[in-house]
Amino acid sequence: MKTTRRLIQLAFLTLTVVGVFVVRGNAERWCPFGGVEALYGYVTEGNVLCALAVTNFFMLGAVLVLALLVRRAFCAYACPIGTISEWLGVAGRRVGLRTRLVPARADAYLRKGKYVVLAIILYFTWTLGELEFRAADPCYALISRHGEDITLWAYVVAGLIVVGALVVTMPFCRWLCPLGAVLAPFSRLGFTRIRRDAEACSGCARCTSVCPTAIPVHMLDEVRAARCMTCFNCLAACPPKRGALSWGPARPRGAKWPPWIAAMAVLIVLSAAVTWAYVAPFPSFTRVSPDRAGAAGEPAVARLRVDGVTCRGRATLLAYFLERDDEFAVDGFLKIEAWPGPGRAAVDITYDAALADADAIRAALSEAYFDRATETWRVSPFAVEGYDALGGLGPAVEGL
Amino acid sequence: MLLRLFPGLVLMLALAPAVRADDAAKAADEYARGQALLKASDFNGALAAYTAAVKADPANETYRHEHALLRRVVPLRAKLLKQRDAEKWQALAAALRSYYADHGLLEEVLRLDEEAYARSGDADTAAMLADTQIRMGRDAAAVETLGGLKADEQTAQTRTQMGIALAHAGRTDEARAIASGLADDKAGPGLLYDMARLNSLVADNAKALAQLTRCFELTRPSRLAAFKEYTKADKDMSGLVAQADFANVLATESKLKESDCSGGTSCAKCPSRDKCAGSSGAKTAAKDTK
Repeated sequence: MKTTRRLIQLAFLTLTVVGVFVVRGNAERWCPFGGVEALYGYVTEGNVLCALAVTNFFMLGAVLVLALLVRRAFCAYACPIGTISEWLGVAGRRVGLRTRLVPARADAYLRKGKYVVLAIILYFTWTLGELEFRAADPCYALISRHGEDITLWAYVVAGLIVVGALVVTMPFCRWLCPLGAVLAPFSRLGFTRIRRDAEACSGCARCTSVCPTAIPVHMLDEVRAARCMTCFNCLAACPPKRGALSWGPARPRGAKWPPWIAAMAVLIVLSAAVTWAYVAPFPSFTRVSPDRAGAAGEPAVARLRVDGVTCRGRATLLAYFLERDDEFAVDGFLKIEAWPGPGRAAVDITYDAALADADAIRAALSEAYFDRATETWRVSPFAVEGYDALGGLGPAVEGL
Repeated sequence: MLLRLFPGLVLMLALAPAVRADDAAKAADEYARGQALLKASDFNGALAAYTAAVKADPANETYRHEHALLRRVVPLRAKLLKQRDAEKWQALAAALRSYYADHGLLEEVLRLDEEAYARSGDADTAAMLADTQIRMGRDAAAVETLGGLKADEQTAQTRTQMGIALAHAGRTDEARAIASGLADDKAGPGLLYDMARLNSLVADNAKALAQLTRCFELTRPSRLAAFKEYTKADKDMSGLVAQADFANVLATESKLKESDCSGGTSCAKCPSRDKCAGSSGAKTAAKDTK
C-alpha cells in the first residue's frame, strides 16, 4: 500500500508541476482552500475573489466529501504540499538527520495553530475581499511561477517549512495548514476508522512511531482523531503476524476493508470533481441588474464569448457597459453570468426580449462610449466573438 | 508534391514582409486621409478612411482607437439633430463636444457651444462658448458673449475669461482691473489656472506664479507632468516662463493623493468597495482601460 500511495502522490505532484510549469495553467484555481476563501464573497456578492474560480468550490466539495469518507486522505495522497513535506522528512532521515519528537502536550497546543491561521486568513480575506496573504504564500509562489505580487516573505515561509519538514514530521500540515482546520470537523465524523485489536496488539508502539500526525495508535481502540490522514503507515508498521490493526467503516464495527479502497476513493472523488467542474460549471460571477430585475417581458439569453473578461473587476465593468445610465444603455438587461479567465471568457446575458436583442448587447459591449462622469470617450476593452467592429454601422449602432 | 510547392512557398515567405510593409504604408495613408477629412468636417469620409486603415493594419492601436470613437460619433451627430428633449440634447452635445475638443475640431465645438448658449443662455454655457472663442483667437466675440451676461449671472470664471479676452484684445487696463477684483481663495485648479493666465497677461507675475503653484498642488500626481508641459507651451504664460521663479513653480509637487482605485484588480482597501459594484469602481475601471 505504501508503494501505491507513493505512486499516487507522485502522480499528483507531477500533474501539478506539469500543469504549472509546462502547460503554464492557473493551478490556483484548483486549490481547495481557495474555495473556502471565495465562499463568503460568492454567497454575499455573487462573485469569487480575483484569481479564483468556481473550480475551487468543486475541489473544496471533493475534499470535504473525502474527509467524510476517508478522513484527511487528501493530505496523504493528493496534496502537493503534503507530499513534499512527507518526502522531505524521508530525505532528512536518509541523510542522517534525526527526526525530532515534539512532546504530546506541546503538539496538542501547536495543533491549534492551524485554527488561528484559518481565522486570521478568513477574517482578512472575507472582510477585505482580497487574497491578502497571497504575497507571502509559499504555495502561491510555487504555483504562480514566482508571480509578480510575490514578496520575499513567501520564500522565508517556504524555507521554514522545508527546514522544519527535514527534522519534524510534516510540521506545516499538522500545525499550520488552514485547510486542515477546515477538514477537521468533517474528518472527525469520518465514515472510516483505523481499529486496533487489543488482544492481538503487543503494545510495541511501532504504529505510533510512524504516524505522521503523532496519533498514539497503540493506546487507542479506534482512531477517531480528526488529524488521521488514512496513510496506513501504522498498518504497514504493525507486525504482520499479529495483524492488530485494520481499517474499515465505522459501522458495523467488525468490517474490514482493504486499504486500496481509500486510494480509489481519493482518485474517484477528485476525478469526479474535475469532470463536473468542466462539464457543468456554475458561473463565478453573477450580477442581477438592480434597476431592471422586475422586467415583465420574456427573458432571453445571449450566450457570448468575450475577450477581456479576465477577472471579477473586468466582469463588473462588463455589467457597467450594459447598466450605465446614458443613451448607450441596453434597456432590458436583466442578468450577467460570467466565467472570467484568461483568453476568451463565456458570458451569458439574460435580457428582456421585448426591450432588447442580442445585437444591441453585442454592440453595447464592443463599441466605444462616452463616460459622462469623467467626460471622456473610452474604447471598449472587450471584443465579442462574432461581432464585426469594422462592418457597417448596423441598426444597433445607428439606433443610438 | 512538396518539391513542386517549394518554390511557391519560398516566394511567399520572401514577399511576405514586403506585403506587410505595403499594407502598413497604405494604412498610414488612409489614416492621414481620414484625419484630413475629419478636419474638413467630412465625418463619413473620415470613418471610411479609418476603416480602411484598420483593415490594412489591424494591429495598430491608434487606428483602432480612432476608428472605434468615430464609429460612435457619426450616428451621434445625426441623433443630436433630431433630439428634442433638452436634457438629452445636452448629454449628447457633451459627448460630441468632448470628441471635437480632443480632436482639435474647434469649428465644431464652436457650433455646439453657440447652440448650447442659444438654448440656455446661462453663465456656464457662456463660459464654455467664450473659452472656445478665446482658443480660436476670437477675443472680441468672447467679450461680446461674456458682456451679454447680467451682473448677477457673472461668476469668477466668466470674469476671468472676460479679463483674458480683454488682455488678448489689447485692453490691458480693463483686464488688470478685473484681475485685481478676483478672489482666488476658493478657486479650484481649473479656475486658478485661468486666473494665472490672466495675471500673466497683465504682468502681475508674482500673483500668477502663486496661483499656478496652488493649481499644481491641486492637480493629481499622475496628471501633473503633462500639465506642466502644457503650461510651458501656453502662449498666455510666456511672460511667466521667462521669470526666474518659474523653475521653482515647476518643481511644485501635488498635494493630492493619487486615486487608489485599481480598476477592479485589487479592491481590498477601497473605502467604496461595498458601494462599488457597477458604479464608481466600474467607471474608474473603464477609465483605466483607455
